[in-house]
Amino acid sequence: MAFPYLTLLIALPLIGTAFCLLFRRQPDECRWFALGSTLAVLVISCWMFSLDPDSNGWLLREDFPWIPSLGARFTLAMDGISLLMVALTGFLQVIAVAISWHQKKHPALFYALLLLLESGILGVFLVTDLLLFYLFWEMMLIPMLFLIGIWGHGERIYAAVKFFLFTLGGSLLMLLAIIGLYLLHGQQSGDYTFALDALRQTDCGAWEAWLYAGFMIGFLVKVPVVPLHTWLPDAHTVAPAAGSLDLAGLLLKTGVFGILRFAFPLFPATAAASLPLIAGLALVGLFWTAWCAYLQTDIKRLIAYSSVSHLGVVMLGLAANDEIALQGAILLMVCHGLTTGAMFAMVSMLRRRTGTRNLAELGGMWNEAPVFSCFFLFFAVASLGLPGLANFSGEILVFVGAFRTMPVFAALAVVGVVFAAAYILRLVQGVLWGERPPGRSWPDLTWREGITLGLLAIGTLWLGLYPAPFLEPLQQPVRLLLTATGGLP
Amino acid sequence: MDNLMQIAMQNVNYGSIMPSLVLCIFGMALLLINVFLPRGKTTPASWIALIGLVVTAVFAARGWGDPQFGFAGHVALDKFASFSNIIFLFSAGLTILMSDEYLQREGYPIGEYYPLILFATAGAMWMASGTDMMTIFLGLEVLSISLYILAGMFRGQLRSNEAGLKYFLLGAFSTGFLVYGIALIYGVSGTTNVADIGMYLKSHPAMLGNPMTIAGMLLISVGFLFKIGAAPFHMWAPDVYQGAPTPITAFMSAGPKAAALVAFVRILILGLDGLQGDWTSLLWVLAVLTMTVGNIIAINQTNIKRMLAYSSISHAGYALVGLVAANQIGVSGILFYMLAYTFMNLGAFAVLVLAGKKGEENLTLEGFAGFGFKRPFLGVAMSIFLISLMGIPTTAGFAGKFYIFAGAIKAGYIWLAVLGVLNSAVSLYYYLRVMVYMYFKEPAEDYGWVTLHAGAVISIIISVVGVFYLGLIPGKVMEMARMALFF
Repeated sequence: MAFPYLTLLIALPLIGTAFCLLFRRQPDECRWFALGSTLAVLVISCWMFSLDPDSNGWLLREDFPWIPSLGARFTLAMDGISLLMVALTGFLQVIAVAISWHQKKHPALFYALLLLLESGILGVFLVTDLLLFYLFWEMMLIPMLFLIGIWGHGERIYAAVKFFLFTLGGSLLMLLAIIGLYLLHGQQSGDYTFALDALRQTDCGAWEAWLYAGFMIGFLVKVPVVPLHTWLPDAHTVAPAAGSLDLAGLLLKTGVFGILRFAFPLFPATAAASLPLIAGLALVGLFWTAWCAYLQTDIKRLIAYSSVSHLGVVMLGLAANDEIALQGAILLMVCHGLTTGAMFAMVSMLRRRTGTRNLAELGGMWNEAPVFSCFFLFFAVASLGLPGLANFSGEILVFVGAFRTMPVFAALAVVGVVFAAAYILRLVQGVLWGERPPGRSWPDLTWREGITLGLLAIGTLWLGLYPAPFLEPLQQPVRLLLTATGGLP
Repeated sequence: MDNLMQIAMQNVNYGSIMPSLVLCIFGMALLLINVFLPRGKTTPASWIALIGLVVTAVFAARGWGDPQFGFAGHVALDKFASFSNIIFLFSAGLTILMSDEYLQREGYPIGEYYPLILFATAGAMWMASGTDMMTIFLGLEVLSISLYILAGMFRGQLRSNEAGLKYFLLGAFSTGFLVYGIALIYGVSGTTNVADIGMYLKSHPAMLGNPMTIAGMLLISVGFLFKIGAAPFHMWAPDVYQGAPTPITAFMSAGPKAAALVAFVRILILGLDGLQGDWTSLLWVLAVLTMTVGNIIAINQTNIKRMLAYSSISHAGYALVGLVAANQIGVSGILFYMLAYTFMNLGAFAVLVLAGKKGEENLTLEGFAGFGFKRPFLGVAMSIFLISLMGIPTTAGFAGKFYIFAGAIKAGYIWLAVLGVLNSAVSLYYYLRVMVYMYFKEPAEDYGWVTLHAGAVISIIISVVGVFYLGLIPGKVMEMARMALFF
């Protein structure tokens, strides 16, 4: 039997968690445990780019018995899409540890939860057994709840509880759909199983729309799609930097990933019928949240809204049901993870220096902290989609693909980019230019912050200038997916 | 005469009551030993009681072979009874582990406490293995009378007196209903043997519609639903649960409840099978009512013990969902769920036992502010139990709920499952609130030093292991629960 690399990926952060809890009185050691296990995940996931897929698109597969009496198995599988997501997770978690290096309040518990969260996210990206998927899906919630609730600022309790109730409420409906699908398949075939491949053969009949809706609500809350998005700005506003980074960079992606991996392949016919609705929701969300972003004075809240807006473009890419658009959507998720992650990291650096996130009280950074400002400008324009930087390559693919299948929606969505320009420019203007509020001196980046942002910037440039290595592993899985949903001619 | 003795002896088969017999012997010996123990010293008694439970567990485990019948078909030690016995033994064992220091702290080191728990457990075992209405009734009475005394054990505390009296009066009343129901069914079928009742009703379908049968079924249901604490017969539960000594509250919410449930299952599915249409529609409504009432009132509680009491009502509702389904998954789900509930609820109560100060005035939400950081071990343990009570994956609570709701969906009760899941969503709120206070609020006051007593800590550790074992690798126990079914 081959070495269980995927299980190892999920286990590494868990081992880190255990060590952090064991050595909770030595925060310095905990930091290194956290960094070590996140780096190990990153290194392994980078190595996985060298693997060749089999005919079904799987790079690696692992399968162990788990609950035989229910037919649930511990099945992990990785294709190109999950590979990208896993690599993104590995990368962003390293950054998350780096930006919370000087965590003062309960550091050991903080790193332990951060690693537990990583384990859950990796699990979601890698499973193909629905019961196991649900287990990992919920496993992400608890650490995030605590990260927001303990280390948050301001209205942290309200935001943490809201986050928890929204996402768990959505996923309970998904649980019902999972049980329903499981029983339906069992009654038809006599084989009670949670395996994705087997369940795809199920003839759901009249139930298909209900089951699909159950899955979709669970995922759409997480993405989040308007009008299910209201928990997100609240959560971001109060979350600590690493929490925001994980929330925007990774947790939102699990929603989109869930749609791609489970909802669409399980119910292709209903999914195809629902695409215009999804596209409509995506468009409404894109504009609505862009408008909201424009109105914010809290810069973190502004970025949170912009994040929902970007996810609108991703959802449009999904709804376009087109090869190029879908590749673009997945690429955009990675790009958005980097740029928005960087923005959140910088907001926390800014806050540490100035003590505020209010646009009205900021200004004049350009003269005070030139290196910081360069990075800020760089990531800001990347996030509005400047050609040559990360988001552009994803967005352009989505738009090109969408123009082929739903030109009206695509045309409208392009207008959304103008909106993005409006709020990003307002952000840049308010933070970098203008008069510096009197009486404070703001130091520039430390070397640790510089390296962190530098890494993100290299990633952003790479994705913008030469995204081919990241698109290549997507081709086969995207084709397979579109064959199932009838997106290929 | 000689002949008659022989026939009677042949039918006795002590093997069929071995676990409860051993338990009673230990209980009675303990009563005697208590006389010789110095006043106020109950620790040796607790050890003997624990040894008694372990010895009983060995005998109970041996019941997992061929079923043993005895006493002319009054008792059956089958797998169903054995599985239930294990639940009772776990709940009694965890209770005794957390009790000793608690009794010392509250100033009531009463020796009779442990024998009474053993007798209650023996009564529960008779209910589980009773195949005759009279045996089940006998078990119920032994169980209940022990519990009446235990609930009112703290003579000097008004609440405890109230609990004992309330439980006794209402309990006696509900037992009356049960006996009346048994009498009516006897009047119809001419037997008290559960299987015979089922056979009779099967061969005389005309009797199914007879008002006497229906009334008998309803009265029996009232008797059991009272013990289970299902709405609208739940009124006693919160006061009794809050007033009784905390370990006894924990015990009552798990073991006796499971006993009433499994006896109810046997009577309904084996004896009143023909009326399934009637009792499922009745229980459908009551299950929803129970879940909802328990959850909605729990939201308002600020006392954590009382909150757990109300939430235990809603958990009885989840278990009833499995009974409505009345299929293999649903009923084995009840067994599994009650075992899971034993671990998570007794674990939570063990934390309360350790966290409480004399009189337990501090077991409020405010009293728990900042608890998680002041007492890391207890905080983490409590969070695990609360997460399990919510029914979130990786824990026993999820596996149990999954099982029960899957049973309901499979039996076609989609809406019941939906309502159950919605109720779980409501319950998130008040369980989560305890965690919010433990971790997210600044501590209001300085806690006195909490001594981690070995007994309670062991019961917490056992519970944590149980919660994760049943949550992560539930396969084996699920398989056993399925094998335990008698239909």
